[in-house]
Amino acid sequence: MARVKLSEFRAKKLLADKLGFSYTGISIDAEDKELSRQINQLSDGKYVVKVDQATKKRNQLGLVKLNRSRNQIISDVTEMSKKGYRYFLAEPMIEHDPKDEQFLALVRTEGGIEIQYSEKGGVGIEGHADSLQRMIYLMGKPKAIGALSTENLEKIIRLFNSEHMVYLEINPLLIEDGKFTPLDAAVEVDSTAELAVQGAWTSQDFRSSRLEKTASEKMVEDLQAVSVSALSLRVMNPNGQILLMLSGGGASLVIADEFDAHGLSDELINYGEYSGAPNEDELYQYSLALIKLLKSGQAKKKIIVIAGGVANFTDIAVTFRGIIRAFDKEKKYLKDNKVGVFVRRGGPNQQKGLAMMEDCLTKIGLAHKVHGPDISLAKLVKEVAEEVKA
Amino acid sequence: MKNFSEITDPAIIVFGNHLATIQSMLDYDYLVGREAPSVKAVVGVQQKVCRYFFGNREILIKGYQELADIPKAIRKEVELVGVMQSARRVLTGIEQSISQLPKLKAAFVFAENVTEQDALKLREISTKARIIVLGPASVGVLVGGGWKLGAIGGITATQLKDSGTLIPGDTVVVSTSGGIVNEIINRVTHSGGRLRYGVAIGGDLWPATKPYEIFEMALDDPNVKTIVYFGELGGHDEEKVAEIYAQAKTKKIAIAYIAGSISDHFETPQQFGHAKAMAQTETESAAYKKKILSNAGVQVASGFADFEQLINKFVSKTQHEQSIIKEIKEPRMSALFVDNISKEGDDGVVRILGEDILAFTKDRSLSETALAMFTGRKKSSEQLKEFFDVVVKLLVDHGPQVSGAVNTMITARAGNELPAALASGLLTIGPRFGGAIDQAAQNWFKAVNDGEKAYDFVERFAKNKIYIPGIGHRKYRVDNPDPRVQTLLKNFDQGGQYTKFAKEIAKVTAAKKANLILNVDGATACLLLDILEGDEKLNKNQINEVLDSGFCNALFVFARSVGFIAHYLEQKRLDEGLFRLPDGMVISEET
Repeated sequence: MARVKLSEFRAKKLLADKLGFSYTGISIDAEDKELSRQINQLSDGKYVVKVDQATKKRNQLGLVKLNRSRNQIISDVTEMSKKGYRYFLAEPMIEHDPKDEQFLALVRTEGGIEIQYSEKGGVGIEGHADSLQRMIYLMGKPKAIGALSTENLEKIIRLFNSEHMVYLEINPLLIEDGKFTPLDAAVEVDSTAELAVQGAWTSQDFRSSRLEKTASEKMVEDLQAVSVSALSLRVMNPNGQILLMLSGGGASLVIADEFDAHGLSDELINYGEYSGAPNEDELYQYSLALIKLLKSGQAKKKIIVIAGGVANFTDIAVTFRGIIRAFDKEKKYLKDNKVGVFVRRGGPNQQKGLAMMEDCLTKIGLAHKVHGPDISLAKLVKEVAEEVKA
Repeated sequence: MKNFSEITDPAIIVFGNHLATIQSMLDYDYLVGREAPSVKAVVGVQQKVCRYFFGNREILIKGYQELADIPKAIRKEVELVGVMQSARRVLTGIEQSISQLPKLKAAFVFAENVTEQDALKLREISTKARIIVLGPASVGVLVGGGWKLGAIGGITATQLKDSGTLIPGDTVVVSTSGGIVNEIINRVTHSGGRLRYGVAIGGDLWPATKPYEIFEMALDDPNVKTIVYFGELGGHDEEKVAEIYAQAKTKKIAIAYIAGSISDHFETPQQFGHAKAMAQTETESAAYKKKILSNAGVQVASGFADFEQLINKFVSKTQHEQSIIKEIKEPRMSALFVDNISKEGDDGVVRILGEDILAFTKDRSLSETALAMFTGRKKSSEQLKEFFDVVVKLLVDHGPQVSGAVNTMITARAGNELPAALASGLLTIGPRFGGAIDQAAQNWFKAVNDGEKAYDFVERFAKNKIYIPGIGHRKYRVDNPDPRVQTLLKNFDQGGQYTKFAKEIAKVTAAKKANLILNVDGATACLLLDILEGDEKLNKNQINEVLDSGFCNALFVFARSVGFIAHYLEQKRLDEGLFRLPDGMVISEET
């Protein structure tokens, strides 16, 4: 995992807690059955209702509703959730003069924290690029900038570091008599620090702008959540011919690139990889999720590519045993649909792993090719490409 | 350090006992003909010794809990460090290495999920200390024909031999991916090229050493002819590479492949396997990076197949002398025991602690011989030797009524031989008989180091209704002190903290009851602790180890065996027949 976006709700909560203002917005999950009860507890007044899913250009897309009464919140949520959104935010509407809107951003860079500030914030910030003041903060007391006092900046920097943020943008930002009101806030955090922040944010707060996730992707996400190894899956074209079961961050990228070079990126069902020595059960579950994806596709010809570089630590026999178990469970489907399998892998215990794989594919009766690291990654892809085009 | 190749015969310390990786480093040492293993110690482990092979011979590498526990003589020679611990401990490991290893030149870090803030700090401190740190997610560096730090190049002996890296060369390989670095190395050697060195930078967003720094190193090195680079989309590290390569106006050929063109086929930016591998902006894309590298004069591959062809075409194929390469026979057999006490050599000579038994015992009394063997160390302070001798003599016997002696005699009278009789006596030794020295020592040690007050200590035991081991005697009292305790204190009390504490305890207890005085067990325990600390100069961990090993019980068992044997021999001489408790000597509730 790497950099991830937090929900706007969590971002504002963190700011409120550390900067000492109150925030009374609520986070809404459209699938929550207690939704109406949650909303009925809100006080009277005007609200803003918006999609909270790291979506860009929400205003243009009609995903922000202003001046809503409490009773309108549910219908707004229902309406917007029809477009595929699930997470929303409802917060009290704050009346203000657009010319008071300011801009503040903090960016983690190698040289320190870059602080960007403009007195002309709001939706038009891109048009006011020359009004943007930038400074790099390294240590000590930060210099006041615009309406931002040293004290407030210090608090924000402390928050930025303690919660392992890598990007923080508040736009528009209102500052009145030193009082801070973020009308919108976007935060990216370093996901590797989840333990270090002790619950200030958790993976539950992560938001991705992608809407629909497939069942297979959700299976892999759940698997990743409880594993110390890395397992990932992203669906590309569910009706493609080629299913990738790849290992290693570098090798998986190389293999996907090579398919692209052969003009076959549209035929890739997925991208994904496993690394960091996952165990047999994890590989079994991971393979099942992938085969499920393969089964849902409409392509006439289907090919599975099990490939990776020469592993440093990952035990080939152990991981292959997981894949073989999944193949065994799904052997009827694989055989009936004449799924072809191409394998290329090296690393600890490779001889045993490759022999087991060869044996499994022969027994099930699938057309296959099993290679060790003597065949290069590029050559394997070429072989598959020829088969696809044949 | 100008380049990795200037380190020719490194001393290495590894944090974390990563078996396969360390073994592969040792195999590499052996295969290139190094006389001694490069890895000198493993840190962050409970084991005292870690078992490895050097060639076909099994060896023991010392294990330590902390870097500071390693003898200074070893620390001051260390040039390379490997950190293979969890992400949380990475920064401390490197910080300690910088401050405690004066000759440190380079390190590699292999840890998943190091936070960005730690990674940035890692770069900051290593730059300041002028050492090269690879990582946080690096598989290390391999100098062709020289040495190997990390898993790079493979982890089995066969992989290493097949990798073609045992002979030095003039090609430098730099890769952000640990898996791909091996692919490239193999491609280079199969094309007839040889490695100057291969480096894995790691795929994190903020590598402590950046690709351009390895490029700089390679461009300044007259022995380098070709540089092969594997990079990925994400970040801006290639901009500096392009800049310095163009500026160098060099004849050295650089070949590059940037992975990640597939990224264009995703609607929203895709996070690929490595943390850095994600392009949110145009300048982070593979295509942009390829363009700037190409403009700088780097041979940029259009795809991986092209990359392999470029390597084939451009890698320098200078003929290199074939040095003598050794063989490793697998599988290698691991010994079943580690034992440093004694040995019978092929010549029939028995050696104690490495010395011929005749020489070893020539100037040692029995108790000195026993002490050396019990501690596993040939040298002890005069104070400890004397103390050990006096104590084992005092413990030799305590009258026939004590339970161990009774059992020995009963077993003897049942017609058994010496081993059975002695064993029954020895088996009686436990918490209530003979174990008090050990318990007292543990208690004194813990209380003193926890800073517990004597009064609180006594109250704690009183509250739990537990006797304090080492306190109290059936006959001796404050007004009638135990002469053995007086003698011990007179000869060995040097005012150490443990003895002081034990005396304070006795003061509190004796005020409650006159016979609750420091007894011979308690006195032995505190004096021993003070000697270990003062005369033997052991630190807390080492004293703890002596206690945990059961050294105090060894004192008692060793000494009292003499008494038990004596009681047995006499019972045999007297031959009184089978012992049976007379009627009326056992009572039960019902009668």
